[in-house]
Amino acid sequence: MKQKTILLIVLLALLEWALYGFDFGVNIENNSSYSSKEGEGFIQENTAHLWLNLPMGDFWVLNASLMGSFSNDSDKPVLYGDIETLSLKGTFPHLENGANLFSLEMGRFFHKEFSGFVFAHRMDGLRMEFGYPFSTLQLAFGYTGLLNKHYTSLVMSKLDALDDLDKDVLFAPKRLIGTLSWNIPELFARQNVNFSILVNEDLRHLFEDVIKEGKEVFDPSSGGLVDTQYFGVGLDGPITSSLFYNAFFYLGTGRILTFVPDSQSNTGEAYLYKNILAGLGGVSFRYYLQEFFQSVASVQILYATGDSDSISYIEGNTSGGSSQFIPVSGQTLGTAFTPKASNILAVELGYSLKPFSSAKGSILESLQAGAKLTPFFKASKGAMSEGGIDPSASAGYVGTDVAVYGNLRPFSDLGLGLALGFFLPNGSAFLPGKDDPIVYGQFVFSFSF
Amino acid sequence: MRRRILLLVVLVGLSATVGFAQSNALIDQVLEQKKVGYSYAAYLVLSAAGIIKDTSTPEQAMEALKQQDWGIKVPEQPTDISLGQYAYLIMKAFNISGGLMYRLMPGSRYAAREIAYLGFVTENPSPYRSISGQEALQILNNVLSWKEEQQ
Repeated sequence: MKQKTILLIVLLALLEWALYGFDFGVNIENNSSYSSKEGEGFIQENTAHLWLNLPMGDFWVLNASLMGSFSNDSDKPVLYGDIETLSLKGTFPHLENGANLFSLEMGRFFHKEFSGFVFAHRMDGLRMEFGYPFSTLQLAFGYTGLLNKHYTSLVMSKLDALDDLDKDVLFAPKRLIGTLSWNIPELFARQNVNFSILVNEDLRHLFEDVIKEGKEVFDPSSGGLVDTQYFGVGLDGPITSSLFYNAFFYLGTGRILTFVPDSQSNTGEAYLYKNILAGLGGVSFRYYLQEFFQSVASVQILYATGDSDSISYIEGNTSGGSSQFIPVSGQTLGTAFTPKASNILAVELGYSLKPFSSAKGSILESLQAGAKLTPFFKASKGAMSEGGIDPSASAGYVGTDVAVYGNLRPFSDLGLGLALGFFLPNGSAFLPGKDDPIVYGQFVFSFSF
Repeated sequence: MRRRILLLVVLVGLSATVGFAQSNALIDQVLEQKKVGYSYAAYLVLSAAGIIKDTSTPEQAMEALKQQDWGIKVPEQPTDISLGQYAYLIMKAFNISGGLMYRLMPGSRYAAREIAYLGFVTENPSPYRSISGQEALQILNNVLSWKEEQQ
């Protein structure tokens, strides 16, 4: 009895220590969208995020967030949920003078490389950051196969795509992600330099059968592995006090399964892994005109190589090595038409302003309205990530995405967003009957408490 | 030595930008505190807001705080202030309206959220954590800069 009492006291003391300083809250979000794209239509998703922030001692913080969604999207269950984040992060002064920092984060967290176009996603793993006086080195490893697939965008292989369509498969593609990043802020003339190496290892073969190299019969119901590596360099900073730029380049390497003619095969054809050698580059300029309703004018150019013999974005290589850039999971340009950074040349012209920025204290003060015009081009003959594109069409103009949007946060805990997009396609870049214009609308409401 | 230089830089910076003239001795005491005392925090906020004179003492600040109809239970014994309590003092002293939840349920929880949203706090915005003297002054400096922009 006495032991139980002591144990209870110890547990209560530990609980009190653990809960001291903890904070929690709920964010709810309603996302209603309409797209005239085939198979989409009106989709409404309501998502709630329950988050917890728990400092543990002087150095450690536990961050946790659960999310649950209610959706009418026919590709998803009506109700689904996931652990959004669950990580323990420690931040430690590294040296006696406190100038350097070391941080360690373990668990599920959001991670991205510096550009955001190659990888920007949640993963389960470990992240370490070493802060030196003149630069920061970051090392991270993570696994994506425990994420609920309905909250992910990690499809790279044919088997990933098949799993994505299979209602019995709950989890995201099984991939191991590793990144090594080196950030040197203000190296010269206030210019920041970034270097990044990202490795994406497909682990599917450890859990299930995949097509093995050398198989001599074409199998449309299965696929192979997609392993990729990316070596990037980026530069950003101010040109003048109002003009800022960002430029980056990634060299993409790896391997992709390809069914090709093979003289050693009995059938004359066989599956072989072919090398990937591709590139992604981007440059953007942003001009801030604070005096005129806090205006921002921007231009962003994105270029990603394609492969002229690819017949589809997913494992579409048909001959020799592949020069198609394949991002793991990253941001896209466009509103109604949103192709991935692969076989693309896009030029996004944007302008936004806050028309009521001078009305201090008004609920309209935060209103931001803007417009974007994005002509898309195919970098080479071959496939793009969006359906309906004719892979046999040569490089050239694909179409233009026009969008207007407005964001309003009348209160710190209430946000509203509206976006309207229209894509006007170039018929000759699309398959017959797939060249309809796309109309897109989205309304987002969010509230936190 | 390095620490002294850092404190001096913060002090000089604040004197230049904040523009209120607390005694150096009191500022030094605040900067030395790893967990800011409630009375010192009350002094900083009330004097910056012009509710008390900058020649007042922390004890006088506590007395002045009791006179305000802000619904704050002013501690009788010396205690540290939490980020949420500090945020609530700032919200009241500078008449910051806050979000919907703050208007419905004014208090330290949503006050901390508000000052984090406005960018006054850059570190962990948990309302229940303690704050250092240096952080308290930095937050106040951010508030005053924001207030100036609003006018």
